[in-house]
Amino acid sequence: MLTDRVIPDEIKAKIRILVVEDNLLGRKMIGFLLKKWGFQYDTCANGKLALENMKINKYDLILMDIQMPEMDGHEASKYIRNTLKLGLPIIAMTSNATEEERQRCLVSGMVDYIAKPIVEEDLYNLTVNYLFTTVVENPENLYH
Amino acid sequence: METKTEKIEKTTNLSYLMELSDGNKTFVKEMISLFLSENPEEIKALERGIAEKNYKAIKSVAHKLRSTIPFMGLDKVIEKEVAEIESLAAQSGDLQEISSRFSKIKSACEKAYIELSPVSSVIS
Repeated sequence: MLTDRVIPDEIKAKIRILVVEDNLLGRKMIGFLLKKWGFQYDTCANGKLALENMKINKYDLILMDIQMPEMDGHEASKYIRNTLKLGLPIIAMTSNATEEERQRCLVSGMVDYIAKPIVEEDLYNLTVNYLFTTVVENPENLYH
Repeated sequence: METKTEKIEKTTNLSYLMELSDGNKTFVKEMISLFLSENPEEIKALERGIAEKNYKAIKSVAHKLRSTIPFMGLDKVIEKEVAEIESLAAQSGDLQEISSRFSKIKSACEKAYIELSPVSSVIS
C-alpha cells in the first residue's frame, strides 16, 4: 500500500535526489520513476562519481547501489558520513537481499535498503517516508 | 498478424517494465534498445572472463547481469544460473561448472535478442 504522506509541492520542488547505480538500465528506470513522482534528480555510475556530484550539488536523499566499480556503495557511504559529515538519508539498493548485507549497509552508514529488482511501491514509500521525516518535518534540513 | 512463432513460449516477458512505466511504450522501447546494446557486451565480458579464468571479472560481470535480466523478464529463466556463477566465482569454484551454466545463459540471451529486435515489432 502506498504511503498517504504527501510532500507539499513547494517543498518537493526544492528536493534533489542522487541516484548512484552502475547498471544503465537500472539508472534509467529509477530516473523514470523519480520523474513520474515529481522529483528532481541526478544520476551517476559509481561512488567516486557520486562524491564528485556532491561537490557541485546539494542532495536531500541518495539511492545507492552497492556493488559498483571504482568505489562501491559501502565505501562511498562511509566517506559521506565520516569525511563529509553529512546526515542525509542514504538508501541502499542491492540484489543480495540478505540480513547480513542489510547489517553491512547499516554499518556503512546507510539508513535502509531495498531489494532488486525494485518494486515501485517499496521504493516510493521509502523515498517519501525518509524525505518526510528529514525535510518536511524539519525544513531547516532542506539543502536549497 | 498472427504467426506461428508467436505461439511458441517466449524467453522474454515485458510485464515488469510495462507495469513500472504504466504502459509507457516509448520508455519500454528505450529500455529494450538499451538492453540490446548492453547485454551482448556483458555476455562477451563473461565469456572472456571464463576463457581467461579471471574469477574476479566473472563475479563482477555476473553481478551486473543479475541487475539487467529482470527488466526483460529473463530472471525467470536464468536468474539461478547467473547467481550460481556469481557465487562459484566468488569461491574460485569449478570453471567447468561455470562454463556449463554460462552456455544456458548465453543461449537464453541470444533467444531474447531475436525476440526483442526489431524493437518496434515487440510493442505496437
